[in-house]
Amino acid sequence: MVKLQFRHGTTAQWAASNPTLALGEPGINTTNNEFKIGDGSTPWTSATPTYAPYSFLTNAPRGIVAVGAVYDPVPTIAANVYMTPILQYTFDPTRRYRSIYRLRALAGAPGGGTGGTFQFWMVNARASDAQVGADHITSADASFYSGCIAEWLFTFNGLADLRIKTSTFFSGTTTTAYGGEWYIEDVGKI
Amino acid sequence: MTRVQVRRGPSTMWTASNPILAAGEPGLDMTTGLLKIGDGVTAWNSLASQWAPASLVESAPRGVVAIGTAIDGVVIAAANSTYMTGYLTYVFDPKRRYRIIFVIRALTAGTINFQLINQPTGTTNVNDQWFSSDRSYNGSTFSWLLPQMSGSYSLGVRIAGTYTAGITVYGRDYYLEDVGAYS
Repeated sequence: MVKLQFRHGTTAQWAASNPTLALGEPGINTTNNEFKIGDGSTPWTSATPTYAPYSFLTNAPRGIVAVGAVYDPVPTIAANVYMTPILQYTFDPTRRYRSIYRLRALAGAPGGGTGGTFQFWMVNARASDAQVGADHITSADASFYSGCIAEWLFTFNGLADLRIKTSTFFSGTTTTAYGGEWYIEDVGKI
Repeated sequence: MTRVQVRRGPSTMWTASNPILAAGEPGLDMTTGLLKIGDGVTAWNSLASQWAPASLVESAPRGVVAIGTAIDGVVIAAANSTYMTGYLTYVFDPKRRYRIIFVIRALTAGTINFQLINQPTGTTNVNDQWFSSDRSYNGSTFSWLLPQMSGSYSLGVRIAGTYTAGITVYGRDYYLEDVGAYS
């Protein structure tokens, strides 16, 4: 049986000879996995098109991978009240993720007071609502009638039931808030 | 010498003839640069491309490429000297666009502005402008789309402009995103 091999060489070998590949003739650089198809006129070092190793694609961000539901309005707020239903997703530990949750204006001063501060956690309901990420990220409301974004950059291994809740720190006792949107973005391989 | 050449043709030829490539047989669309490998069953027009031109892949965003350290619990002493973050050092490719993001949570009080600084010089405002200000008791996300940069820079976020001395600010995520190549 005849073994078919593409024309190949190291970076140094290709640079030294700098051949012109025939139209449609493939060539592989074994140093960096660069893969070129000749056009019959362009020498190797300036030849196009080139093909990227598959690993390049696996490293790239994949954009929004999960969209969660939000409560609109959120049930009456107290500390440790959930701001969203559960969003289930299986995370790849080799990739990095970003969660973005937008909250629109609160309906009034918390507890009938003059203003308030809200902080949010993202937690995993499958693990006793342990917070996801190294620390709880908070985004507080300036007083009332104010929107905000709670944003986390995080990694996680495996299946999670995520939801966002208020932390124990806020002013006032009750108020009404309106959820805008909540989604998870894949921002690339670690 | 025997030369091996991939089965090839312009898009119009492939679309018109719509052949079934043998299993493992490569076919090259010379118009788009897409490369397909046959499975012996699927006709060309329905066959997925296994390879994309590197130019397409390289123009795509690469996502978060560097993570810096946010300083949590910074007490503001003076404007233009207090940093909210450690150094984030990265070697920038002038062919690509970058965005830097810094998230803070609630302040204890006060109003301040933030500025993205090239730390080694301590004076160069990377984007040559003042950035978002923060209201009292308000968390924020600051996002800077960077100007075209080449080579190594160490960037940090500092407090500038209007502020209330003595207030405490809490930093969270600080990171650099590659958002794609310049077209």
